[in-house]
Amino acid sequence: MKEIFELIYEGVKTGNLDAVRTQVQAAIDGEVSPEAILKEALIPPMEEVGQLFEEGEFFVPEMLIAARAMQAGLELIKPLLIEADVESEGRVVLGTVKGDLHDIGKNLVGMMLEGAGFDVIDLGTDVGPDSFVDAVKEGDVDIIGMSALLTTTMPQMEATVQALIDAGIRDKVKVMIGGAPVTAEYSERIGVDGFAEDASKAVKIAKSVLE
Amino acid sequence: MKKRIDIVLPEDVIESNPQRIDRFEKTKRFEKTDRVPVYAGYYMDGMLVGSGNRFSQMIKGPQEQMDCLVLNQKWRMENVRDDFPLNLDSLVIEPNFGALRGVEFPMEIKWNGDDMPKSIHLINDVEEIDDLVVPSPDTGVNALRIEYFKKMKEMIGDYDIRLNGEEIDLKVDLNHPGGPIPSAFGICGPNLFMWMMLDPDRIHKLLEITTKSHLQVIDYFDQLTGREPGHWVWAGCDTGEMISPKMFKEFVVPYYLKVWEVQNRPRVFHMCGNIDHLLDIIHDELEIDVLEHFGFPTDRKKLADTFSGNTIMRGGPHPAMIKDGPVEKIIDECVDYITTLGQKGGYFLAEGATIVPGTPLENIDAMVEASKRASEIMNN
Repeated sequence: MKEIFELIYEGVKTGNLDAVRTQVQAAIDGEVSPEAILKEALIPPMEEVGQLFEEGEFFVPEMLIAARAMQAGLELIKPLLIEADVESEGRVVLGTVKGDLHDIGKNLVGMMLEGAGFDVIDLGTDVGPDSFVDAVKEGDVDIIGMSALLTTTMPQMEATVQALIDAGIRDKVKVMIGGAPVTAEYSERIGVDGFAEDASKAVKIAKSVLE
Repeated sequence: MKKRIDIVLPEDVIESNPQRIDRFEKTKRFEKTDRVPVYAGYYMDGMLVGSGNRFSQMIKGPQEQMDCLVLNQKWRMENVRDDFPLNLDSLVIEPNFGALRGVEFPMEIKWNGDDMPKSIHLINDVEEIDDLVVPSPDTGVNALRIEYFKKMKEMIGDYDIRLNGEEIDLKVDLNHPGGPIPSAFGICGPNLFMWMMLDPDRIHKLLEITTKSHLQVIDYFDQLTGREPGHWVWAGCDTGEMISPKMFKEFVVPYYLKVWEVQNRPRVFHMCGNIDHLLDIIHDELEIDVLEHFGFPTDRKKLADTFSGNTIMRGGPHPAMIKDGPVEKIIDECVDYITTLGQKGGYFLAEGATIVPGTPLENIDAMVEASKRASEIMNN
């Protein structure tokens, strides 16, 4: 089994989607628990990918193909994880804020979070404050993650925080934000719980805000 | 009856224009000036807010857009007191539908009322690149820009533009900003980066197409405007910052050099994300003359080490900080940019890299105040 896990690890890290699919299926066929496949074979390489990104060794393309390969493996074990009632790290609702259609960062965050064992609901792009509020009201949401690429759309983050306050549910959910123009200072000013500079850090922040 | 638009400027602003021009020209030549010029990046959206218009008005028709564009220019001239030299002889406008990428390709556009429009990526499968051809230069949003350009030219005579009571010319221009990478991104979306790794040959084919198309549109617009061919062009490379230096050398450098083989210097290059990891390549291999509107995430000391004294630069602090202030913070931050980047000339202070609509005008004044304070520091 160690060899299969090593092949999955290498497949994710190098973005070899076919290899990951093949080896994850082999692990499933070998009756390895889906939790072990997730936590010992799929999550560790994504952690290394995130680390390499932070160190400037990997860039967006390398992350994208790694995340794509990881997701291919995840798709195979998802039904088994649900069947086995494996507890997720938490449920995150993600979206690029209203007026903004940029989704590279948001998608990467989503894939990294999934790769770290979070349950991710992606509301897509151009997501207004009401949609975030509705998602929280629907229940079982631990974190709202908002992304913006434009300085002109960044104020929608503050508007969403205000909408959560107005709806009386701000204390029911943690809020984290990220995106090129977003700064730690801005996140403090609008009163969110976490700010992630990049997709890799988003995982750490998501874990820390739930502690 | 002609539509009369009066632009009213205080005499002292007009009198100080030669000084602004001198400051700009000397800075371009890396010569010593009284202080670093401030050149704020007002684009259409920021000026629309200033002039009290809305984007939906811009897309109603050529007449409506022309009114907005003229009023935008009037608002900037009358209200923004940066160091940008004023054109006292004519007002130049250009059809504008927002910063859309790949406008020369048959992209579907999502119009969003008063919000800026977005283009929908043209292809979702890398194999679709095989069917892609260099489009006619009057394709996509460019068709609309050309239509508006022609109609606006016809309507010039309907306007009576006055500067402090004196008639000035109204001119309509048409340019093709952008570049091979933004167009490729417009076509593929984020898949572009993944496909660079998974199917590099097809992406090279795509970049050949976007490069040819880019040059073809520039040539066509030169014919429409009567410009001499081979002039300098503003080449944007937004999103290129997401790739590694190795991939930048493979997928960016050759295609931008192709553009510059045809178009003359200065090589004006724009990238506004974090480009720390690409600075040496941009300097050594692209051999740019102007780094136009760099972004706040890029390390200012690395910029200074790479470009000061040899490449003109424009850019500066976080646009949200310029918008939100407070004034003292804007001044401190701008002083730091100027003292870091302005020691050897060639630096224009701007925000990095667009003025956020609704930015208070006194915050632009604060940038000018910072330039004055920085000058005192650098001269002592």
